[in-house]
Amino acid sequence: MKGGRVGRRFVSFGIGGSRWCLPVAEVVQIVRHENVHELPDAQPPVAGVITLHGDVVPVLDLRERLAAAAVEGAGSWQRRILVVRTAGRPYGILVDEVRELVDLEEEADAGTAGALPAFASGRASRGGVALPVLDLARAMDVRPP
Amino acid sequence: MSTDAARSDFLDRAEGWAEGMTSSLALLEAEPGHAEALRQLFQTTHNYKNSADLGFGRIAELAHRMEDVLTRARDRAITLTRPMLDALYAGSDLLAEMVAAVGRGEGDAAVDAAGVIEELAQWGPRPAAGASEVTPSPTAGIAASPDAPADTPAEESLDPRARAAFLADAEDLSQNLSDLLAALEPGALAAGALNEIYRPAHSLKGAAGAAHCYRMQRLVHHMESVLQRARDGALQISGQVRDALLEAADRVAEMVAAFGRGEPDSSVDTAGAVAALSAFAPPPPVRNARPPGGEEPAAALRAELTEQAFGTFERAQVREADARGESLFRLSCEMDPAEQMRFARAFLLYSGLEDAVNVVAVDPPMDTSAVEPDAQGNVPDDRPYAHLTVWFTSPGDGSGALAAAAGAGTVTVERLESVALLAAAPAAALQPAESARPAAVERTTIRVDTRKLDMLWTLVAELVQEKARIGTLADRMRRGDDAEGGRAGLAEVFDSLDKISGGMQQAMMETRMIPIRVIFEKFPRMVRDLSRKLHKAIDLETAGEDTEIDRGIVEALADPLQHLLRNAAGHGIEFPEERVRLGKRERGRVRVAASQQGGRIVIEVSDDGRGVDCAAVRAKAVALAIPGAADMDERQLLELIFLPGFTTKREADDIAGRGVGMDVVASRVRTDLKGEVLLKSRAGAGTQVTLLLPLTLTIMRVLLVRGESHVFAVPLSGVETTTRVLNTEIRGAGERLAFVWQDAEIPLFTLGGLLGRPWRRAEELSAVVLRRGRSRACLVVDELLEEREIVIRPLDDLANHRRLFSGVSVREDGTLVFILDTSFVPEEGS
Amino acid sequence: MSTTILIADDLSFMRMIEKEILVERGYRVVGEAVDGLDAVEKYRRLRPDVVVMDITMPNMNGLEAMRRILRIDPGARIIMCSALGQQHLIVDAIKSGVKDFIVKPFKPDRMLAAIHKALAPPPGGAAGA
Repeated sequence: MKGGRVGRRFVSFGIGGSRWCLPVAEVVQIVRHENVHELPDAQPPVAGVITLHGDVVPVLDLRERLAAAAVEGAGSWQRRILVVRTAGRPYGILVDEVRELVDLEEEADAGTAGALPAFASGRASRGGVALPVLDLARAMDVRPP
Repeated sequence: MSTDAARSDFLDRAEGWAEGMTSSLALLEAEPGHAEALRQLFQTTHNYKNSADLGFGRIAELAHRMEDVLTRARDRAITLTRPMLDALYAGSDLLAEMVAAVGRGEGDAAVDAAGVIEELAQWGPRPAAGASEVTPSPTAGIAASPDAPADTPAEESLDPRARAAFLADAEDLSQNLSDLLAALEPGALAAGALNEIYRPAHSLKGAAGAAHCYRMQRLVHHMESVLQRARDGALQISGQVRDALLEAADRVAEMVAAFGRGEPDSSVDTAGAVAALSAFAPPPPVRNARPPGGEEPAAALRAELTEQAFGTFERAQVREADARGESLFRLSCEMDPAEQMRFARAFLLYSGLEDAVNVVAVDPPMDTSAVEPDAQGNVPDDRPYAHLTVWFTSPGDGSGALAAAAGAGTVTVERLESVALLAAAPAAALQPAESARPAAVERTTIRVDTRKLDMLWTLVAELVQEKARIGTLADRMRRGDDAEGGRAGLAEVFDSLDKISGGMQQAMMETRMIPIRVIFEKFPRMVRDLSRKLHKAIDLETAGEDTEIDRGIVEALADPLQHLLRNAAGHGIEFPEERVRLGKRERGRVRVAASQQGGRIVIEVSDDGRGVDCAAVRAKAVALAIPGAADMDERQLLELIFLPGFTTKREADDIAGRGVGMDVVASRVRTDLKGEVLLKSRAGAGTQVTLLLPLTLTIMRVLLVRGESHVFAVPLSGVETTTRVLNTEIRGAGERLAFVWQDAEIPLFTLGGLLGRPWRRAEELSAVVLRRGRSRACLVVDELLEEREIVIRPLDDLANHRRLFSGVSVREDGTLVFILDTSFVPEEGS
Repeated sequence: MSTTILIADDLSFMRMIEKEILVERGYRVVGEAVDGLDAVEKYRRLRPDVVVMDITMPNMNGLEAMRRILRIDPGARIIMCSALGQQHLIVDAIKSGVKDFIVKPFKPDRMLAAIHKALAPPPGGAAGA
């Protein structure tokens, strides 16, 4: 069993008080949190939809799923929507802040540093910083558990 | 490095070349010496070779080698054998890949073509004594390429109108350039003056490239490099520099004049001017992130390196900001040496900037974990943050950033030429090897048939006319003349506008439609490869290439079709010996036909192979314990093939994957394309798979209604009429409500009920009577709004978990209208 | 009508020094708080223009007090004072909306510059959800 380390670029962001990251390849765009249309039959974690380049894109609020509380004092001006592409379609993830683009190494062997938080597909780190990588597919799964 | 415009133009033109090449090679293979195919091939390789002038040396070299082989074949010096054709096909693929790499900003060197080039070289011409063969060397950029003559080839000359347009522009720009340079005072470093000169030079460079005047382009590029250095403060405009620039400008003017006379731009000798400018030319780009010795590079160099390292993400941000009319700025902050908390200061600055402008990148990165104490309470060194650089975009002059950055130290803000940033490829050394490809740059341009654009143009012209009419009418009505006539006139104008807007919607929709040919084009090559690999003989027939499909479904459609082809070739068509034994033609036949029928797109993939072995299907079904399998008839058995995991093949073969894979095709067609799949087969005779797809971009006439704080749309085709319902007329309770309509009791639904919300009854309600076949139902709403046409956009399942909606539409004011799926209306007899 | 300031620090001599600097420059110190709880209470009552708050205080630290004050008044202008070695707390404060920070021991000019910055109008333009 090898713990392979692959260097990549990640977007790090905060949802509630916790920090996460996603490979840049999965993030298509970052837009401001505005003009989110309400859905008539809303079903959490879907918070609404936005129109983007002619597409109507569902926006998800994962805070409850990721068991994170709302950030104290995180002004709504910092909130962003990460537009990601999974299963060939665009989706928006509501985040409290987008931190930065950073080069991290993904741990191929996830068992090394202890238990992963729920909805994390692995960990990415550099130096002493370790961020859980958000498992989009699982986080966005709306089927009943 | 190449200009944005020239490169973009190249990418646009190159899009069609690869496909054409493959088709021509196929023709050539079928008929050696095929004149038209050869002509097309030479034209394409010639085009590719010209990209050397844009700095794509690798592309040019490969094209050159291919051309050599084709030339010898044309001259009968060699006959094209299978290995040669394979190499040519491979070369064509690689060329397409290189173009794609260029489009992603990776440069043509990102694709390794060495093997194919070597292979082709062995069949190329032997260097003959005295033959002047131009061997293009991989160029690092225009600045380094030899100043070899590159005449504008005859086949690539512009049409007269484009020539005239370019000439006019070039004359203006060239004159402007010369005037500005002549007025330049030696020693003047005013950013404003240099910017003024930079602009016409930059425009001229782009235009020259687009007009295939590559010598002119190269010379202007040299001028631009010098001007850039001066602008960045690395070069003083001495008398010598100015003279060199002036001489170059003179040569440019001469080339423009030559162009006007119809002479190639190589008639002007530019060597001297280039040499003079090169003396002040920029040093080659720095490739290494860390100079040997591991010392921290100086702040300015760091900034430059970071800019070079801007990935596709940053570039996309800059590009978008550019489209919004914002400029790219670089803010540099030198902190007070007495500052104790450098990171915090930097972070405060950064947070403040985020409020004021759009931040693109920061160096060093704002990683707040940098100041978290570790287990021993030690904190990493935050000295690097004493020199902070922030790249941001903003409208205006970026002065808002200075205000936000006040108090952080010595702050300077400068505007950057964002075009230069976008044109540079990211320095390889600064990006760690990425196992996943970064998000490719989204091409936001499409190719549209000009006839469709002409139609739109006509409609726009009519629109303008009607607008003028309204103006006149409004005037008259305001003055109080002829009120009656004014009203009638308005009604007329409205009718016209109705027709025009309908026409425009239709025309716009058609620009989205492209012929299915784009998918079919890949098939001949695919079938050829498959035939070879499988040792079968297969002929491909296609029909209906002109059938138009929505651009958006091309990707989703290509996969299933390819899959079906692979199936037909892999499992359908028998081996030649077997076919002969069965009395069939030795060569199997696969046919792909597309057509539009009754508002749907019909695509048939058929083969004359062995057909589906129903006995095997039945056996498998029984083995899988599918209920009723033993008694199923052929039609039912064929349906089973679409079940996931259903395969009658004992081993996976690597061509068609495991078994039939029909479940994948079926799910793709049903889910992604909202279509249907039908399967017909006759054992021993063949199989036919039919895809039925809806015409996607739909414009629908609907009735808009309001309810539950939203606006919904009901397709008019499902509306019988509207009516009012008295509370007292509603029968039933709870979920099963009903209403008497034309002497029959029909079910009654409410918007609230559909959405799972409690519904407040009111005295009198507005309602829509829906129809589905012969059955009717009543839908109660809050308010009936209007009838109109809307454009439907698909709604992702995640936002539609109850599947209540068949789509969504965006109104003029930006709000959303949800289109009700009326399948909740019970069918007859249920 | 001069600018009103609330000072919060558990050490009385720190409060004294800060008050001296401010009063000398014409600012009006309308209150002094000895811990976070006190600071929040006094803010509620006095609504000063600016708060100068130490980050480490008993009963409730400056960070928490700042957050509470911002909940009462999202436009509150707060400046945080900190000793060395607490940079990560300052960073948290910045994330929560502090306008500026000063590191102890500080020069008077530094505090005044911070107050100046806190009083400056927020930048407009690209911001806004």
